[in-house]
Amino acid sequence: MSDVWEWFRDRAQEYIDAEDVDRFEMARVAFEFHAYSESDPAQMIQELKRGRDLAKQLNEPWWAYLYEVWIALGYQEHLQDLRQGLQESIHAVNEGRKPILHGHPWKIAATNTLLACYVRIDPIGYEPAIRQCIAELDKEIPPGPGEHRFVMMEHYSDLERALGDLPKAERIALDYIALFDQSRGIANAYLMFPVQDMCWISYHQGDFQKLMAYAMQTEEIAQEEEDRRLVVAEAKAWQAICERLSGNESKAKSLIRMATNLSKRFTKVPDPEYFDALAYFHQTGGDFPLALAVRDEQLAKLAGKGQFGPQVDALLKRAEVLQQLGQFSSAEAAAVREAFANLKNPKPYEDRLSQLIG
Amino acid sequence: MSLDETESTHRFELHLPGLLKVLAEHLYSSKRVGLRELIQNAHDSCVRRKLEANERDYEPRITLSLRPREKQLIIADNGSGMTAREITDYLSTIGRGYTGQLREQVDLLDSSEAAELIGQFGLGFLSAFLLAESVTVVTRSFRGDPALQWRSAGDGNYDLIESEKAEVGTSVTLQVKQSAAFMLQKHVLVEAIREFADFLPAPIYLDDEPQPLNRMEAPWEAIDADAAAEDYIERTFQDHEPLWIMPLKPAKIPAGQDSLTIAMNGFLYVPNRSVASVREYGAMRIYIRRMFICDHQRDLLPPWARFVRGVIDCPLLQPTASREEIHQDQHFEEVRQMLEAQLTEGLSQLASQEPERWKHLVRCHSDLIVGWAVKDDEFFERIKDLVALRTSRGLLTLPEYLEQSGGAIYFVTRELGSLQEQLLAEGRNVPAIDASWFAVAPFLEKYASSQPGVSLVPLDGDIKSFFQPAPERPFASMVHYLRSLSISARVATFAPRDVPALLVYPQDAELMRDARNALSTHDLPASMAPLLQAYVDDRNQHEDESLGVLYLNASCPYLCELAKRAPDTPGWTGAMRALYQVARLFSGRMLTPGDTAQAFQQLTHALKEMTE
Repeated sequence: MSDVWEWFRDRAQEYIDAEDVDRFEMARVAFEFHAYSESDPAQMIQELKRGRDLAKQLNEPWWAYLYEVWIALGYQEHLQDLRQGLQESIHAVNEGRKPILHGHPWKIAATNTLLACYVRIDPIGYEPAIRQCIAELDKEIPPGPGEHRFVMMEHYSDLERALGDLPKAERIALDYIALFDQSRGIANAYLMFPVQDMCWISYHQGDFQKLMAYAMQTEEIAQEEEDRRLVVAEAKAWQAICERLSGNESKAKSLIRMATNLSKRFTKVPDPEYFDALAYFHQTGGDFPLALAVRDEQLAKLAGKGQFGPQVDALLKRAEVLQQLGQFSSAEAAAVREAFANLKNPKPYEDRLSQLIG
Repeated sequence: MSLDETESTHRFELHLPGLLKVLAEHLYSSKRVGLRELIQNAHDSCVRRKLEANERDYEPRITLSLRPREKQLIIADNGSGMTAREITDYLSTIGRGYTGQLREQVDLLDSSEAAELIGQFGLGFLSAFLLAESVTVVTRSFRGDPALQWRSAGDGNYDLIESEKAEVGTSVTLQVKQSAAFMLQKHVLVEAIREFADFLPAPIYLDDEPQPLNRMEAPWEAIDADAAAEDYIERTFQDHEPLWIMPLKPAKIPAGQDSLTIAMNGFLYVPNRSVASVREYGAMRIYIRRMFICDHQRDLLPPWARFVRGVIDCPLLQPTASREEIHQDQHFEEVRQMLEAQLTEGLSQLASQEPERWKHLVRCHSDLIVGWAVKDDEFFERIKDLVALRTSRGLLTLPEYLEQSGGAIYFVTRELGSLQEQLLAEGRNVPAIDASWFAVAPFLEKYASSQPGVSLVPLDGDIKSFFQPAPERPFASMVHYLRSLSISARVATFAPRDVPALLVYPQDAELMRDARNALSTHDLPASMAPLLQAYVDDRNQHEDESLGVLYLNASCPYLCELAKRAPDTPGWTGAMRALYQVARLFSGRMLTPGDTAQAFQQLTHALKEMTE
C-alpha cells in the first residue's frame, strides 16, 4: 500500500505540473478524507463519493476504483454499517474483475474489507468461509511485513477472539508485532492494532500487569495519530481497570472520565472493545447499573447495522450484568434468543445463554 | 571536555558559511523567489528615498540587465542607496533589516508610503546566494557619502571598498550559478517579474526596453475596476466570463475600545460553470503590499464557499520568513472572518437585488453547492429553494418541483436503470429527480425534514409502490407461458397504460449476477471466492427474484387484447417474447453478450412470426 501512496503523490504532482485542476481536485480527496474519519464518518463517505464521481466524470477508472474500495471500507470500519459495507465490498470485488483494473494494487484491500465485513457480521456462522479466505490471502499477499498482510492478520486475530480461542488470538497478535518489528517505512499506526488486541486478550487472561503495559503502548501509538482518538479512549479505559484493581481509585476514575469524555466528542461509534473495557471497569467496581447502561448504549449504537455477531455478544454480556443485578428474567432471555435468528450458527451463543440460565 | 561545577552561561557558536548556505538554499522553495526578494529590496529602497530624501521630482525606477555571456544578472535601482554604516548594520547582518525598522518608526496606517514597504525580516538579501555564486553591490547613498562596493561569495566574509557611481542608488550584480542559469533567459525573467511584482508602483525595466515589464497597477486600483478584474481573472486564473465579481471593502477590526480600519484590497468572484461540474474552488491568491506571496490558499474562505475564488492584498496578513506562505495567526483569523462577512453580505444582496443572476450562479454550480449545503445549515437555508436539480422534466428548483409533484419528492439514485422508474413516475404525472450525484439524496433528505408535509419517495428499490394489485386470471395463459420460459411473471396495474410490461429487479440483483458470474467463470482470486460464495448462498432462496420479475400491466389495452387470444394464435408467442425482451432492455440493467444475443434472437423470431 505504501507504493499506492507513492502512486497518489506522483499522480498529484503530475496534475499540478500539468495545471490539471480537475484531476488534482480528484486526487486531493484521497489526501483529505481521513480528516472526517472519527469526527464525521458519514461526511467522510460523502467526500469519497465525491472523489469517485469526479473520477468517473474524468474517465479515471483506477481512481474511481480506489474510491470504491475506500467507500466500502468507510461503511465497514468507520460508519460500521455492515449491511451497506457488505454491498459495497461485493461491488468492489466485482468491479475489480474488469480488465481495465488489471494489476490494481487495491484489489487485496477490497478482499480484506469483505473479510472484515464477515468477521463483524457473524464470525461463527461464516467461520469456514472466513478461514478459507484467510488461507488463500496468506498465499496471495507477498510474504514478509506489509500493510495488506497486517490488515489480514488483524482480521484473523479478531476472528479467533470472537471464537474464544485466546491462545491463538494472542499468537497471531504477537506474530503481527514481531513482523512489524521487521518492517521499514510502514506507518506506526499499523502496530497499534495488535497491541490494542493484546489489551482485550490480556484482560480475558486475567493478566493485568500485561494489560497495563499494552494499554499504555496502545495509547502512546494512538496519541501520535490524528484520527485515532477513540483508540486513545479505549486505552485509557483499560488503564482505568488496572488502576482500580491496584487500589488507585482516584486515578482510575480520572482515566475513565477522560475516556468517556474523549469518546463523546466523536460521531464514530467506538469499537466493541471500548464498550467491553468501560463495562468491565464498572463491573470491577461492583457498579452493575452503570455497566448495564454501557451495554444499553452499545446495543443502541449497534442496532440496524447488520453486526449480528457483536450484537448477540453484547446482549449476552448485558444478560450477565442483569444476572448480577438479579434482574435477568425469562423475557430478557427470550429477547436474546430472538436475536439468534439472524445468525447462521447460533449454537455457541445458545450454549452461553444456557450456561447463564444455569 | 570537562565542565565547571558552577553554573555558567555560554554563547552559541555559529558556523557562518554553513548557516548562510542553510538560509540561502533551504529557506526558499524556488530559486525564482530569489529574484522577488531582490526586486523587493530595490523597491523598498525607492520607497525609503521617497520617505526620507524629500525630493519633489523623484521618480523611482528599477532596471534589470541580462548578460548571459558573462552569466550576470544586474538589479539596479535609483533608491536611497546605502552608507558604509548601513551596509554593515543591515546588508551584512542577517536578521536585521532596515525596512522593518523603518516601518515600525512611521505610522503604518496613516502613511501610504510606509504601507508600501514590504521587507520585514532582514533575510531577503540572503536569497541572492540562491541564484549567485558571488554578489557585488555598488551603492551610493542619498545622504552624499562616497559610493561603495561590497562583494561576497556567501562564505561568511565580504569585502567593502570605495567605488565609483555617479547616481544615487544601488546595483546588485549576481554572478549566476550554473544551477540557476535558467534565470538568465529573458522569458523566465519576464514571467517571474509579472508573477511577483506586477503591481509594484515602481517601474521595472529590462535593459533598454522603453516599456516597463510590470503593470504597476493592481486591478482594484484601475479606473474601470470591473474590466480590470475580468482581465486579471482571465490572465491569472484562466477563467472566462465570471458569473459575479465582488470587490473587497476596507474592514474594521476592534482595537481596545476603538476600532481600526484595515485595507482589504482585491475581489472575490464566482467562476463560470466548469467542465467537471464538481470542481472545487474556494482558494485565494494572496498579495502583501502589492507583492505576490502565494496562491491556492484554501483556509481564508469559508468551507461552503467552494464555488468562489479570489485575490486579496491585506497588510494584516503576515508572511512567513520565506514569504511564500501566510501565518495562520490571530490576524489571519480576523481576515478570514471579515472575508466571510463580506461574502455573506454580498451574496445576500445579489439574491435580493439580482435574483435571476443569483439563480443562474447557483444553477451553474449546483452539484458543488448541494454538497456543501448538506454540511452547512446556514448556507443550506440560503440556497435550498434556488438549487436546480435534474429531473425527468429538465432542471427544476424544489419549489417548482413540488408544485408539479403535489408535495412528495420522487427520486432515483442509480446512474443506469432509472428510465423505467422515471417512466412510472411520469405515469403518475410526477417528475422524478435524478439523485445519482452523491450529494443529492442527502440534500433531498435535509430538505424534506426541513419542510413539513414534504415526503420522500426513493424510486429505485421501491418501484413496486407504483403497482396496484390486479387479478391474474385474465392473464393466466401469459403468466403460464412466461413461467414455462423460466421467467417470473406477475400481474399489476400501473401507469402509463401504453406500457405493457416492466421487468423489476431487487436492489442487489446486479451484485448477485456479477458474483455468480465471477464464481462460475473462476475469474477472481482464490481468496475472494469463499466469501463471494457465502454472499450468493445467503441469497439463493430469492434466486427467482434476482433474475427479475416481469410485471404485466393489466391496464394496458394492447395486453388485454393479447390476453384474450389463445396462445396458439399466430404471432402470440413471438409477441410475448418481444414484450419480455423490450422490458429487459428498458430495465436499465447491464446485459452480458449472451443476454444481448438472446434478445436479438427472440426479437427477430417475434418479427418473423408477425410478418409471416
